Amino acid sequence: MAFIIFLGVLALVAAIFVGYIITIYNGLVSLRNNIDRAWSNIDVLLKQRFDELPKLIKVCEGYMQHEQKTLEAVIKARSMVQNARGTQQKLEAQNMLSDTLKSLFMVVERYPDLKADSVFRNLGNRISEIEDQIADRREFFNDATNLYNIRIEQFPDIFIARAFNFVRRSLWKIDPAHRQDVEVNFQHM
Amino acid sequence: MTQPASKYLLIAQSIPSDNEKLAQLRPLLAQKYQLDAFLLKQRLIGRGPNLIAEGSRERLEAIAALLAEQDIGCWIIEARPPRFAPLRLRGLRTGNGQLSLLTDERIVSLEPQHRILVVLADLSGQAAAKNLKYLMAQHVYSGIRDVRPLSDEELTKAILRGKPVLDLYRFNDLENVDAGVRILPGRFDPSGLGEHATLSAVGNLKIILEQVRSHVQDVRLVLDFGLANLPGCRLKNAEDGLHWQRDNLAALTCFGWMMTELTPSNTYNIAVPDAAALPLLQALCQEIGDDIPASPPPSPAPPSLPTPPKSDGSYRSIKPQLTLGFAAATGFGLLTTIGNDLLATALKFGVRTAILPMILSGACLWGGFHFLRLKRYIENTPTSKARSLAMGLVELQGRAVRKYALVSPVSQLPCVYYRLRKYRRDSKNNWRLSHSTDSGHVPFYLEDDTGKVTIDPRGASVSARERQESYGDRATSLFGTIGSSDEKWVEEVVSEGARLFILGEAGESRRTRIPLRARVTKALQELKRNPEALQQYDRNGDGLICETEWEQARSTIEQHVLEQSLATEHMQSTQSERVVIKRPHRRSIPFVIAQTESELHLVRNYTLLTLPLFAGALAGVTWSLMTLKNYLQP
Repeated sequence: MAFIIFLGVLALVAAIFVGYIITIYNGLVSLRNNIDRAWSNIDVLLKQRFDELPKLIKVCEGYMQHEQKTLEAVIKARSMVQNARGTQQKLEAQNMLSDTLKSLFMVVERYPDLKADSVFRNLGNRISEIEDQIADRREFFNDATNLYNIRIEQFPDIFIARAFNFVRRSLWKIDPAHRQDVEVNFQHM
Repeated sequence: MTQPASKYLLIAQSIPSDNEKLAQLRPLLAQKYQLDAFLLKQRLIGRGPNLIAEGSRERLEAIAALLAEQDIGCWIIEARPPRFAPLRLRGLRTGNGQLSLLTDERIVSLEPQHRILVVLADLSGQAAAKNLKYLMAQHVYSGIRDVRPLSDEELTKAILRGKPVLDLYRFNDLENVDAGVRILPGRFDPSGLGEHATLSAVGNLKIILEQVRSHVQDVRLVLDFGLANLPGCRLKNAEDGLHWQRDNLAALTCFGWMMTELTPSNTYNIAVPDAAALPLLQALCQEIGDDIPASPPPSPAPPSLPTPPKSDGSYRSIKPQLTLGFAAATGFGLLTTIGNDLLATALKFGVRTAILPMILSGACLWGGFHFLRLKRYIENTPTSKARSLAMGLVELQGRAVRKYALVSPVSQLPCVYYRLRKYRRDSKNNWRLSHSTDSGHVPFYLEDDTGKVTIDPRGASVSARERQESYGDRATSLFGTIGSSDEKWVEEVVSEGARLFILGEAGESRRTRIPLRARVTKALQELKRNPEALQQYDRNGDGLICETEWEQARSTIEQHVLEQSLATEHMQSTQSERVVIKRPHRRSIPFVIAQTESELHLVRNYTLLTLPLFAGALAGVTWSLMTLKNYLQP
């Protein structure tokens, strides 16, 4: 009878152990999917920004007759986003679009009439809001990736991760050009 | 450079009990000056000075005049930081009719002609809690209308039992503070007290207080730190972060300096009104077109926030687990009613056949995995920002902000959530839940550094940190005492401003607006009823609206309604209104609202729950197998 008791206790320990393994596995699956979801959620915002651009360009065209170069750069960047294939290419195209948009908003400073235009103001605010949200969601994506990467290297999750081929994911990295210090020169002011 | 405009504070001395005039004044002040009516009641009744409003001097003077008319002492002071921190007392000396306080930097002597402000404060918060419980015991449980706060003597005793600190401020001839000394019990050499010195640190503090009173004629004692609601003077506890004790000392300094300005001679004085002039209250009533109410309104709602919605009963707050628990309790109750013998027999049978230990073991195992899964969910979900929430399961951290004028029923605190349970003692001296209510149907906002979002707490597992418990027997009894009452109340509150952790599902809020077509139809019906408006579409002037003219009118109305709709939508399309955090559609996914400073605390709590449950499951299964062995043996 003592043997049966031993077996019973062993069975419960085994049940707890299996349950724990299942919880870890499900957790890792959920973390991996969280990363994909976070990435897709950034795409949603990028698409929104992409859709707002034609309206913005149309408004700017009326005022910025002498800034065709800047506008063309935005249009070109937008078409690059449309034609991009693969994650890396898409990422580069989006970064380029962000840069051209920054240049556009800097140039706008020279056109007070355009700045005062209510449609431009609304569109500008909308794009700024989307930019802020994109920044937040990039941060969220990195958080999700970081959680996953930590988890698959922690004990005891590492055994499950290795057994079921959970591999490291890379974080969202910014363009090295953006890491450089900004030179501030007050001489022209 | 232009000087920034000064900010002024209106501080009023609370009165012990409510009266009819004050009840009339509150809704009027709320309507005219956009003050929160509930907060006004809370701050005007009780003890100690409380902040009523802040802003420009002109606005505050208008409010002060109305309060002064009701014999409420008030002050208008400029908001400014303390000039210097009080020096720590290291020792003291008496002699030549003066008391000398020795600090590291200088000697502060107290002479009979001086004016001294003494602030005796309890930094543990026990005295403040005692006063609150004392008021609640009288008002809520004994139904006494004219409740009275603790007297100075009772409050002094309560402070000295806690963690007392004594601050002294000395005024010079120009009525300015020229010295401040802080006395911390046990942190000074008491030998200067001579034969009065005792071994008790708090006892020595008490003696210093007596010495100050005997040496100086003009001594004002203030005991309201922790009770008074003043800016920068909030009493913190260990749950408010690592530096709560240091913050409390800084708050005490701030309080002391504020008290130096709130002298009886500085009280705001209302100009003596002209005999022919109307009293201010009456004039105000006329100005806002309101009659002076004959009796106090039953529940005045603040104008700034809407009244909380009533529960629509569309959700069941009792979870399936609780339903099972209730069923088990009912079965147990029935067995108890039928007879003790039957119950004892059933229990013995359950234990002998190992059914009971097995059920216990299964429950522990289920509980263990439940909390383990919950812990994993929290750990695996990154924290989102309110501004950029994506739809689906999200985790948020921020401060609770009221969307509706919700106030907890017992402690009368502005809150975002409360749960009130009433227990009754049964014949066997056990507490049984007799009534339970909560505000789970009232949405609120969660605000972080990027914005705010609506939270719909229906179906959430809410863990509140502020808990009040009371036995409602006698007017003089305090909470927590062993009472002979057969009734007990437990109130849990998530007060406004509390730091919250939320795990739930973000979704679009339900659209409750009327469809565009219905609005167009309604507008056309109104047009038909109004011949004058209809006249403008009669182009040929024959007094009749032909088919073409009606089409034109219809088109114009449609355009107008659409424009109105777009304008309204634009105004309401903020994240806080558009997105709502609610219970996930999948029941297996948790919806947690927890009042905590950090996610780590929550995770640690779940871990601490998981381990004993698994241990319990193991113990249960061992017990059941051993019992089964005995049962099966012939």
